[in-house]
Amino acid sequence: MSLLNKVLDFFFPEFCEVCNHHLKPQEVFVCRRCLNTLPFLKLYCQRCGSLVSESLLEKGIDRIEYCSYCSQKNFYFDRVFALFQYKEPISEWLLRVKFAQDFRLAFALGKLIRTFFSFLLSDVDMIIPVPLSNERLRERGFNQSTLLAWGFLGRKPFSEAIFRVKCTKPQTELTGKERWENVKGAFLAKDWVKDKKVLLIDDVMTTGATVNEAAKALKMKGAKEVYVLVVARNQLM
Amino acid sequence: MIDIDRLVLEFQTLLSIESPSKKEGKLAHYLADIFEALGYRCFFDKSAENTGSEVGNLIVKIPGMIPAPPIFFCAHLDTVGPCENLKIIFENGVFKTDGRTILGADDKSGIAILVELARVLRENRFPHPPLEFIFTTCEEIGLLGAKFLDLELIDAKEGYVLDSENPEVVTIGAPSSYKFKIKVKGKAAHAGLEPEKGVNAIHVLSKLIAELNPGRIDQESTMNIGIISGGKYVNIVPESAEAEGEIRSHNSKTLESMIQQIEDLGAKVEKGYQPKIEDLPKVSVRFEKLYQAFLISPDDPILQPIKQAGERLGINFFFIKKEGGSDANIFNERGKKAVILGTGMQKVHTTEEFIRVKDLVKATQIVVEIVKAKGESFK
Ligand SMILES: [Zn+2]
Ligand SMILES: [Zn+2]
Ligand SMILES: [Zn+2]
Repeated sequence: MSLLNKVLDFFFPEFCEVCNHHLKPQEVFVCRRCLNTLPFLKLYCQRCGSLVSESLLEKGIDRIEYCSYCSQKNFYFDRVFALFQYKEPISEWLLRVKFAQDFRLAFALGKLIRTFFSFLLSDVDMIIPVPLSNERLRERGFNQSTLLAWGFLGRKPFSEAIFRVKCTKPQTELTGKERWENVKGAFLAKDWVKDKKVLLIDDVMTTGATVNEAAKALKMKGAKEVYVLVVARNQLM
Repeated sequence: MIDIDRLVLEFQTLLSIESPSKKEGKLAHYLADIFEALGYRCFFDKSAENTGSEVGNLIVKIPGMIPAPPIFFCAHLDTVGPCENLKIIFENGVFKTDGRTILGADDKSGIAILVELARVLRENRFPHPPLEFIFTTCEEIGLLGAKFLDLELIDAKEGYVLDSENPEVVTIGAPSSYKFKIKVKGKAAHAGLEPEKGVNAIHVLSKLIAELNPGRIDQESTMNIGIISGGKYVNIVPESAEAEGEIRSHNSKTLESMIQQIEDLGAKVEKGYQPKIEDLPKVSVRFEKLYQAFLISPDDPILQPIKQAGERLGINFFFIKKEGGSDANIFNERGKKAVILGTGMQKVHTTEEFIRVKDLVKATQIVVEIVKAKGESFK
């Protein structure tokens, strides 16, 4: 598919990604029935996104303010919003977005998270995709987080506020501890984030090391609050 | 350290001692005997005069092994009903009832944990600060024991209330709550002969209620109208009508503005109602504070020993806000910082209430580790 077709196709999505049925006007990306089968993340620590056993949900707990982990870790971001667990088909979709350059899918996922987190649009001052380094951008041709943010916002996101100043190894090749070292000092933010409430958008959050480093750069330049929105939350075993 | 059989047996004994609100005497004296036999000093405060209970709150003092600041633990003595002729069923490691009564694990699981803690401290020598156990009365009927607790008897400035469900979940916040009563005074008249001489209080009240928006106000606030009454005969224009409700919020500003809104609405309806007769209707709105909100921040030192206990036991604690009040609201309001720990009890206030021994043991381990951590961190 040509780039133009990819873009056009995005503007006229018609079929459920899962079952191929025609979508009704209010349905986004997947039909209502298939939407219910997706691995939604029902309960997680809202401070750090840590996964929580769903048995607590059955016991009437529907919101976690913070956990031992994040209250000792002192993350630079203030809140995490995540829609899915990193499982099939979400994991497969996100890999397709990243490595198969599936623009349509990226936009559609962005649109899908918008249907759940639209309240964030008016709640924050800036929405910024987590940037790639220039090398990685050249190698891959696009930043999947930018595309997700594009779909989420419905327009091109503002991505000049934060840069990746260090080319790091892909986090997926590293263990937990190495991930924190790997991204250290990787980002630099511009002064205009001062006093702003910023929403960082990324595809997957695993240890939180990457978004934490990005949030740190934003906070160093005086950002008031940093929220993180990811399509899926993964956990290192 | 923990003797599981002893813990379970004690828990079962505590369950079998009936202790509905205001009738906590037997249970309180049973506990005082246990703690005195262990060599710890026990006190009853004079709260009974105000709570209407048979006894005051029971306070137990356990001397420290180190000169660290004291901490308190609290559990409530009373249970909700129905609790008569309790039949305990113990099956597959789970305590429950035959379905006719509540079990009373709320809050006897908390009490059992503290008895076991006292025994562990008697048998093992490790550094720990002075401990104060507070066993409150009348928690279930408006947190009365805690409200009238004699703080002169308590040296600790912070502590842990054992009164929620899941051992790995700590409650660090709860809302404020007010109840309110709206009274409308109208004027009686015969509804068939001279209705124009009357002012229909029910009608006025209805107009007011129709403009309230009960339910969820925002993410952290709710409102309810729970009781309505008024009128005596179908052929009389009712002279008075009343409604009662409550508001809750984690945010004190929101709460103030909700109170203001309801008061303004009362004034507006009173002013706008036509026709008026002899300055009637009169609308009055009264608020009564039930409990005050609290919120403990992630870096508060009161959570430190909990996190340390979690590290030792391999538990990632989750910290939540709850939607109801408990003794912890009162402690925080009265200047004693407190969070709520889980004991393992489930489905409390229902006849399906149960508790897994596994969870009760876990909760006990957590409490013992908290005490140890407190001792070890003291320099
Ligand atoms: Zn479908
Ligand atoms: Zn957390
Ligand atoms: Zn209770």
